[in-house]
Amino acid sequence: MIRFFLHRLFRQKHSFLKAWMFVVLNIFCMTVSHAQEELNSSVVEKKSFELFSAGKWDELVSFSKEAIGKGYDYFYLRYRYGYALYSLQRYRQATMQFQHASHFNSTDSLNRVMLYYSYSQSERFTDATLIEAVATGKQVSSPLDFLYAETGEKISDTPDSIGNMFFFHFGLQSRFSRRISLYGGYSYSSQDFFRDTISQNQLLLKGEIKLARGISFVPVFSLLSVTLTTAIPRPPPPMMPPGAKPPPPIPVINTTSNYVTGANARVSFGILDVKAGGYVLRFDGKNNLQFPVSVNAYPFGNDRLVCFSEMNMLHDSLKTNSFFKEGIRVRAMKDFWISAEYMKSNLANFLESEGYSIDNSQNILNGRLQVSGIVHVNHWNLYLTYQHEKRTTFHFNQSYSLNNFFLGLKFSF
Amino acid sequence: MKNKFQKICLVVFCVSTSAIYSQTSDLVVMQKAFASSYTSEYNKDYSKAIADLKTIYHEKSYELNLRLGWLNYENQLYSESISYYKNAMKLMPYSIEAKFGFVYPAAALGNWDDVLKTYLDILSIDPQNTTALYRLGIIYYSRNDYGNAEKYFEKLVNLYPFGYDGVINLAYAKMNVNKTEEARLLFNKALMIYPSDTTAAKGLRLLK
Repeated sequence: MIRFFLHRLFRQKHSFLKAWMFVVLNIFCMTVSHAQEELNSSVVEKKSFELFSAGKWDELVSFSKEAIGKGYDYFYLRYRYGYALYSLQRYRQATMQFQHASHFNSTDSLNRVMLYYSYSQSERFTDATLIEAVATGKQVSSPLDFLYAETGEKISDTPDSIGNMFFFHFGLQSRFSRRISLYGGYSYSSQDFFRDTISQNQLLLKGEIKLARGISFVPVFSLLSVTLTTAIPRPPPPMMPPGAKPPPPIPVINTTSNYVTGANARVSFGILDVKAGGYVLRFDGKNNLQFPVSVNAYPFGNDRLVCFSEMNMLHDSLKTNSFFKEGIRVRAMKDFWISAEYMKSNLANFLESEGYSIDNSQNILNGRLQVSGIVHVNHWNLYLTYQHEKRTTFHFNQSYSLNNFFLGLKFSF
Repeated sequence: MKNKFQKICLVVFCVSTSAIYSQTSDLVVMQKAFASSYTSEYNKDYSKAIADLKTIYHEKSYELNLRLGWLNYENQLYSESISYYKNAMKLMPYSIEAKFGFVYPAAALGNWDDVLKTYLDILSIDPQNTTALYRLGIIYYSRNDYGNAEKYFEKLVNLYPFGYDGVINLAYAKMNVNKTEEARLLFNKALMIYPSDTTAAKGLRLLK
């Protein structure tokens, strides 16, 4: 096209000037084409090594991507690519490259160490534990992973009819091997209503079995004992003198045992963690089925920003419903995170957080907004959570709100 | 009738002669190209040596693939070298020379699992191959897999009991699997083979 244009130009006057323009243009085109060196494995190896040695991580990432796209794929390239991503704090992407590198050389100690630290920085702690011994030489010193405690109060906006709720949970996670851990926890909650008190004792057992890198199976079993204490006012006896104190109400205590059982599978790949599960919830002699599916996304490849989304299908004998949860978590400072979550429900009697929280109330949860602040200091994690819940009573369709405050502590060994 | 028969014979003769001639001339062309590539290689002009053979390259030729694998390795084009060696190995699955060629670029790229697998393939064809036994032992030793290292060095020493390299490496492997008396014996044998050897002397000191 350019030559055609120049040919037409040459037919006009000032042909000497135009010839020079033609020569200059050609030299420019040749220079541009030679500046982009043709890739061969020698160039790939030399350039990737130079960029790696010079610490030019952004350039190394682009160059590695281009080289791999053109079919140059070998251990040192993948390792350098992973190292560049790690240096840029894109830990999730870095894990993929170190994993690729390990396909070429499964025993390289440097690659193992980098993979271990990438897993740890990516919140893939179970994967990190799996390779900890070979990567760092550290043997599992304690069979205990962590201790956990949480307490809180839900404050009702209509205390005359719906009282506050007190909640307490204590648990510990124990490790049997690098692949198997078990969490055992106990929860107690109690809430007063107009004439009733509902209290719940919950025993939770949750295992995690690491099947392969990035894949876990999590079976859950929870036993719930729900006690409903109803104070039925006693009729006054005959011949009661006027103004006398009425007799105390007769408490009627009704305790039911319910249980929840099920499991979920977790898969981590790239910047995503995906969980899918199925649970049977037995409440008051009826079986409900719940199927949660959730996705956690790490768009920057690290925990600076985590987006999560969860969808649940809840099926009882009559119909199938669904509810959703969306949220984000941001690392505001070095050891401080803030998270916000919104849940839209219109349901009751469901499970959250793999059985940790089981809503036993017949009152419908319409929606919930949650904000948390999390601090990490040495072996301790501390969090404060505020929730605002909107609920509707099952019997009288009365709307009410709860302002919930929780304090949680976790000690990791 | 006779004329027709004569014509047919002439046609058949011409076709078969031209086929034989073209096959012979193909080989002549290849020989010339190989000769040119040897000269270029001797002059360390590996790019030209590769170009000499690429003009006549076809992927079904074991010799071309093997030679191009080696020339590309010498020219530090390791990925290209690997793909030629893989072709050669596919064409001649029992060829040990192709496998020995393949391990060089694979090692240069850090693909040690491929290297290990290839040496094991060599031993499956030729179980007494001393080069493969020795190198496998070295790889396992460097991975701290002393059990496997001991296994391969032991085989090597059984074939060459007076070979220094096998004896000294077996001694160290035995020391690392806590077979101290056997290790001591082997270190002393190494000193017998090579009296001023400091590596064997150091090994004996470590055992004390």
